[in-house]
This record gives sequence, structure tokens and C-alpha cells, in this order.
Amino acid sequence: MHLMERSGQRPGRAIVRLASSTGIPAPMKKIASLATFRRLPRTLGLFFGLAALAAALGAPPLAAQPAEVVKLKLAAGSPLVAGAEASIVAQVEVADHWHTNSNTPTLDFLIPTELALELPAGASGLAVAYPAHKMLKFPYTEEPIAVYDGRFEVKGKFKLAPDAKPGRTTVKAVLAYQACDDKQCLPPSEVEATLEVEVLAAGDSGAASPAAPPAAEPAATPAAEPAATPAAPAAEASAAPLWRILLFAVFGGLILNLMPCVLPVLSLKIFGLVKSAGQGRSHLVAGALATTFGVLFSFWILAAAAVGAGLAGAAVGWGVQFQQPGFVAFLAVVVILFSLNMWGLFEIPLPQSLARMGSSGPRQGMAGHFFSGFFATLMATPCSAPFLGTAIGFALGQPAPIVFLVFTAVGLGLALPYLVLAVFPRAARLLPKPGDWMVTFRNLMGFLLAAAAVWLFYILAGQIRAEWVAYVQLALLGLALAAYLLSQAAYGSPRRWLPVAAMVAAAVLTVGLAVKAPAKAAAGASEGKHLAWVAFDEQEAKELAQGGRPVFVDFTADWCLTCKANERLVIDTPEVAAAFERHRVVAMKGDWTSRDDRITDFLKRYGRSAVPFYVLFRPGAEPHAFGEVLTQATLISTVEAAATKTARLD
Amino acid sequence: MKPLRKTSLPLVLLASVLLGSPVLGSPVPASPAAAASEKHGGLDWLESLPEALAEARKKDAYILVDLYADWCGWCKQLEKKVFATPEFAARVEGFVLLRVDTEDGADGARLQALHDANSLPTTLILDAKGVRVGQINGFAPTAEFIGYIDQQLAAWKDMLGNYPGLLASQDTEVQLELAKELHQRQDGERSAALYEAVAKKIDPQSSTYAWLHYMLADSYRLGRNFDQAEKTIEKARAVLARAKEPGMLGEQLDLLRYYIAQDKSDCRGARSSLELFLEAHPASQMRPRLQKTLNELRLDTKCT
Repeated sequence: MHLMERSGQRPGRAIVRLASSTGIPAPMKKIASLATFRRLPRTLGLFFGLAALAAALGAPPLAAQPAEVVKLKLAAGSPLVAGAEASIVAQVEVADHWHTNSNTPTLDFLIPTELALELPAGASGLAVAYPAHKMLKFPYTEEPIAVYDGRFEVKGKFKLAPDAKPGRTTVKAVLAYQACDDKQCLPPSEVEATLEVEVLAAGDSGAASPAAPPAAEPAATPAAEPAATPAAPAAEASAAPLWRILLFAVFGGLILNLMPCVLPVLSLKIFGLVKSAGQGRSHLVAGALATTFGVLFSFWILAAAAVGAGLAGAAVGWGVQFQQPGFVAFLAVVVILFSLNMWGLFEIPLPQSLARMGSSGPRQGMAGHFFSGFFATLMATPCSAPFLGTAIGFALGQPAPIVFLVFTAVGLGLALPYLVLAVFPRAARLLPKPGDWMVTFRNLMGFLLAAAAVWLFYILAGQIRAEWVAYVQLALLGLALAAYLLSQAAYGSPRRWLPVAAMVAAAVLTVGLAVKAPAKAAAGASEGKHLAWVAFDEQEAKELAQGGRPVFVDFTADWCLTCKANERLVIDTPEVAAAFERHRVVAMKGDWTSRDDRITDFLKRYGRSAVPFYVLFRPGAEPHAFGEVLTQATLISTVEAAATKTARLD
Repeated sequence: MKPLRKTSLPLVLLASVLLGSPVLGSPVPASPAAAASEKHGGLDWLESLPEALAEARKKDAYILVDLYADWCGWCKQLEKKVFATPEFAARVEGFVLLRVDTEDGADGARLQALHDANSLPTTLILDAKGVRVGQINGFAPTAEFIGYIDQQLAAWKDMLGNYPGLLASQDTEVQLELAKELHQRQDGERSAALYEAVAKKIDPQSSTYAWLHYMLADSYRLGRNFDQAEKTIEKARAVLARAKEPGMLGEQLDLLRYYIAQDKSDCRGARSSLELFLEAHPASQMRPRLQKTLNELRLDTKCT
């Protein structure tokens, strides 16, 4: 007859459903679910004055159940192009000390972890690949069981129909799991996530043949114009069609010719080619083509290196994707390092052996032309490395065919003068003369690279908390300082290893900080160091206060340093957390980082137009607004006064 | 969610009323398995709650409840490594043993909901009235597990010893804490007595007074003192009528009427209380669910 009895097979879930279908405000729902682990209140033992009793009254100590035992995030594993294979990656994070069963559990009663994907129209042939499970053995069991824990990825591969409708759409994933820790199990549950993706039209233009690989997520171009990536936080970042990327790549390669260490080589080479034109037009064309192939060959080696690095990264479980703050920070290191190089702060030395090889390769015939093209690229490395290195960095996250296409385009750009020359020998006269302007040009290109860094920080800011972005930037500043110190140390000085070591350390620190940084919290609700915040809701605060629970509201914003300082030094401290716990104060956070009219209105009612602002909703009294200067003593005493009043019940 | 972990007075109750369904006196139909008992690790485990309660009343014994589910590995470990040992058998001698599947849609599901046993295994110790005397969450090796049983029983007996003095004391805060705890443990008689003691000491005009009477009414319901429960609801309603913001308490009070009717096995009363609720609270978020329940009641041929 009861509601509960009618709610189906899984009462555990039914409870949750029932709670969410009724008008219980969120915090109360929390209580309902947390009540699972509620133990007898310490107060019982406390008031009976029996310390031993306090311990005894609790149920056996279990690890507290985290708010979310399993978290799910989605990422595009590849661009979604009509007519091509694509993949979606489900990134799963199981809370510390908990595990879920493998997809192929070793015992038949265990419920497997399963991913269901809702794909865009036109997707078919979905194959879900689960990671290898771990065999976990517990102190009280004989047999290890097959589980997943920590972070792992489940990949869904599928094919999009050639006529799949291009445009934005949503991919939804549901992960079904049943979690246990080392003493207890939770009812089977599900976690959902969605991802905004863009389905791209096949081929797009002549640049990609029908047989062309799935393309069109922008790859980076060496022209220092990093294009958007699948999960750049800028949702509006549109996917540039492949032909445009390739065009940029060709242009980037062409620009490389103007670099100080390329142009002289180019001039000499062209001079040689033109001279050999005496042997006939066909000889000139063949020579130019051989040189071009030499250049391309060296770029294919680079492309292979980039693809290899990407695969190796994936193999050891580093997702090289823009969703990973560590990867973004790594790119920032590369970009910053290279712009410093462009500004002449330090040079990238070409290993002696390579330099020798360059000057001792075959000199005659087509093979000679081929090798001179190959080594022209090599010799240009000290100047082109910044661009090519950056390109490789960005290419790490791209599928192999795109990488090869882009690098081929860059190579073609670099070889373009030879090709043009083969067709129009007279064009040789149009070549700019090497000179000091090349250095200026190189310096300017450094600024382009630095602009790429700005874009990377923008991505990072969407992923990790503002203060951590600042830490990452500080570490990068350290990197620049080390590079400066290197530029001050004389060549050959035995002390040169010191700034180099400092640079390596700063680079490692940068990436490390980004990896360690806590993910940016959803607006409002977050886990503080000592306090658990819930998002501000005025109605809820009133109701809680009416029900006898004081509610402390912290109006704050990421860009407000005073707010951050207060949180760190006054509010989110063990003392205040203890007082809050003692008096059952709910901590709410009104996050004003982005425009929020409800918060603006609330502030206005209290005659405020800025944060920080702190309010305590009190049972049986008007809310108390704190003054400008918040101290722990005021905060705790106000909370205590409010709570005492509650206890006396008016 | 640290600050939320400690539950507040109305909220706990709200949660327990919303989520719970009474064990005590609930019209539990005798299930087919009622007479069955299962040999499990050498001990006799009953599989029906009414039978276990009857047995416990007869023997004046505690009931030890094993709440399990098929998919729960630690439940199997607990049964194999602890419940099957002679040490455990010796400790629970004289206990009534009850083993229920939380997914049975009957006693197991009800006990799980009533005692918020979301994680499994959960072992409950109930008295002959169904009051939760102790609870052991999760797996523990035999010696530790037996230690928990001892601790919980000792703590409960200690509380019982302190109860009369506390009931007479002037310390409202402690009375309220204990009332809440006993209320959650389904001990309606004792929690009602404590709430009554607190109610005498507070301002009858305050909103807390209304909440308190709501909880008092629910405690009377748990103790099957239905007349008193109805009267208390009226009292709370009168206080509420003067309040500026009735909030959700109005809805809760009306819902409580439905629960009382259920506990009385009064299906007509349940039906009319639901009808009244739906009429009085057009904006309630509980409507869809309650409407569904009402429709089922209307179709029930036994209820005319």
C-alpha cells in the first residue's frame, strides 16, 4: 500500500527516484541519501557523558561514500565526419577506494560495467571497447575479482553514413555500474554524460579526395595559427574545413623560406638549379621535383614521429587531447619555449653529426637534388623548429592521416619556390635578398607563437580553476626566466647546464601543475578544503533556516581576489568548518564569476553591488549581513549566537 | 557534504516520512514464504518480517536482519565468512534471524527503505517491536563483527537506562537530539514522549512549534496512537495557519494523514486523504506520484 512498495524491483533506486520526484530541495535529498551512512550522532554519547559510548554507538566505521562514486565525461576520440569512422571516448573516474566490476566479470553474479551510447542519426556499427580489467584481491577474500578503478576509458567506435546530416548535435552516454569498496557494495546505478559534437560534411572540397581520411577537425598549421580542437571550451569554435587548413599549411611552409637560416640556402640552391638549366628544361624540372621530394621526405619523417608520439602517448594511457589540462599545458610550454627562441633568447643547436651529413651527402644527379632538398630542411631546423615543433605538438592529438596531409602541405609550401622555378625559371629574380630584415621577421613570428599561448590559456581557464591557471603561468614565467639566464651564460661555460636544467624543471612543473589542478567546479557547488559548498538558492536557504539550520552564504567570484583570500584564510578553514559542523550550518556559495541576475538582485537588496559579501540566514531571525572585514572570530561568534537561539527554540 | 551530514530536526523527519513506510503495524500480507525458514550456514534464517516479529515477541528476543542482494559480493562474503562460523552462531543464540533480499519488492525492500540501508550488506538489530537497536554497515571479520553487535547492544541498553532521567530533564537540545534519533529508529513511543516534553517548553507561536508537532504526530503514528496523531496534526495546522510562509509543512501534514490511513489499513481513508491532498496542493511536485497511487486505490475492488 505504500509508495515504496509500488516502486519496482530496485528499491535502492526507487528511493532516489521518489526523493527526486517530490518537492524536496536538493540539500534535503542529500540528507536522504547520506542517511545511509548516518551513524548515531555523537551527541548522544556526548550528552550521556560517556566517551566510550560515543564510539560504541556508531555502526562500524566505513569509508564515507563520496557524493559521486563514479564520474563520467565524454570526449570526441576523433572528428565526426560523414562517411567516415569516428569514435567517442567515455572517460570514467571511480572514486578512491571504490571499484566497479569489469565488463567481463569473473563471477557470474557480478553486474558488469556497461556503456550505452546514443549517437547522432546516421551512425551505425557501434563497437564499444572496454579497457583491460584489473584483478583485485581483498584481505578477506580468496579469489581476486576483475574490476576497474581509478581513471579508465571506454571507447565507442562507429561509422557515420555518407549522408549523415552535418551540424551540431549531442551524443549521450549512460554508464551502468555497480560499485563496491573494501567492505560494502552500493546498488546498481547509472551515470550519464552528454557531449556537444559537430558532424562534418564528407570531404568538404577538392582538397580531400573521396578516399581521403576522416578529416576536417582543424589540425594545427605551422603558420602559428592554432585552430580549434574538438573540445576547446569555446563552443563556437567552428571546425575549419580541411582545404583551408591545408592552405594555411602550404602558406606556413612557404613562409619558412624567409627564415634567416633557410633563405640563404634557398638562394644558393636556386642559383644551382638555374645554372643547371643550361642542360635543358626537362633537367631543371626533374631537379626541382627531386628537391621537392627530398623536402617532403623529411616532413614525412616528422609526421611519422608525431603520429608515433601520439600512439605511444595513448598506449601508456596519456590521452593526448585538448580536454586534458596536462596536454594543453605541455603545448603552452612548447609554444612559449619557441617564441623565446624566435626572439633570440636561445638557439636550438643542430647536432654536429647532422650538420656534417648535410654537407657531405651525394652532390651529383637526381640523388644529389633529392638529398639537398632533404638536408635543406634539416639545415633549416634551427629556424623552423619552433614552427615544426609546435605543429608536431598540435598534431599529437590528431588522427594520423591528417597529420601526414598537413605535414605534406607544409613540405610543399617549403618546396614551392623550387616548383615555381621549374615552371617559370625567370621567377628566380623575384626572390627577396637575404638581409637583416629576416631577423625582424623571425622576431615578429615569435609574437604569433605567443598569441597561440594566449589561446591555450583560454582553453586551460575553461578546464581548471583560475588560481591554478595562474600557477601554470607562473611556472611558465620561471621557464622564460631560465631561458633568459641561459642567454646570459657564455657558450661553452660549464655553468650552462644549470639554466638548461632549470628550464626542464620549469617545463615539468608547468605540466605537473596542470595535471594536479582541481577541475573547474560547476557554478556554485564545490568541495572546499574543509567545507562542502552547495550552490546558493535563496528559497532553499530560507527554508533551511526556517527548519532550524543556519545557512552561511559566500558571494564570491573567481576574479575576486579578496573573496579568494577570505575563503582561503577565514572561511574554508578547520576552525570555521568545525563550528559549522557543530551548529549544523549549511555552506552555500553564490558564484558571481559569470553574470547571475538572481545574485545581482540579492546583492542589490542589501545595497551591495560587489563581492565579497557574506550573509547568514538564521532560524527565527532576519538574515545577518556581515561587514566588509570578515574575521574568523566574528564569523564563528555570529554562527554560535544564531545556533544557540535555535537550540533554545526562541 | 560535511555540514549537511548532521541532519536537522524537520529534515530528517521529512526524509524518513517521505522515504519510509512503517514496519510497525503495517498491513503486511503474509507472504508465501511466511512459514519458510532457511538453513543457512547451519542457522535457521526466517524470510518473513511479520513472522520474525511474532517470534521475537514470543521469545522476547532481538531480531538480527541480514539485508542482502544477489549482485552484492560482500554480502556473500559476510554470509560465508561470518554467519557460518560457530562464534557467530554462539553470539546470536536466542536471537531471531531474518534474511531478506532488498530486491524482493516486499519485506526486504521495505526494511531497506525504512532503515536507509543503501549500501549492502547491512545488518540490522531490531527489537520485538521493530525498533532499530543497532546497525552494522558492510563486511567485517567475525571477531570484529561480533564486537559491533556487543557495542551496539550495550549502547542501546545504556540509552534505555538514561532515558527516564533525560525525559524529565530541562535540556531541550538533548531531548530533541535523542527524539530525532529514536524517531529515525522507528521508536515512535519514546520519540513522542520526548517531543511532547520539548513542545511544552517552546513558544506556541513559533514555526518550530508547528514542525515539532508534525514530528510528534508522526511519532504517534509510529506508535500506532492514531487518534493522538490526528489531533496533533490539527494542532500543527492551527499554528501553520498563522505562519506567513507555510512552506512544505502543509503538504507534509496532509501526506501524513495518508500514511496514518495506510497504517490503519483504511483504504478508504487513504483514498480520501489523497483526494484532499491533490485538491489542496495544486502545485505540489508530489502530485504525479500520488495521483498514480490514488488511481490504483480507486481501481482496487477490495476498497469500496
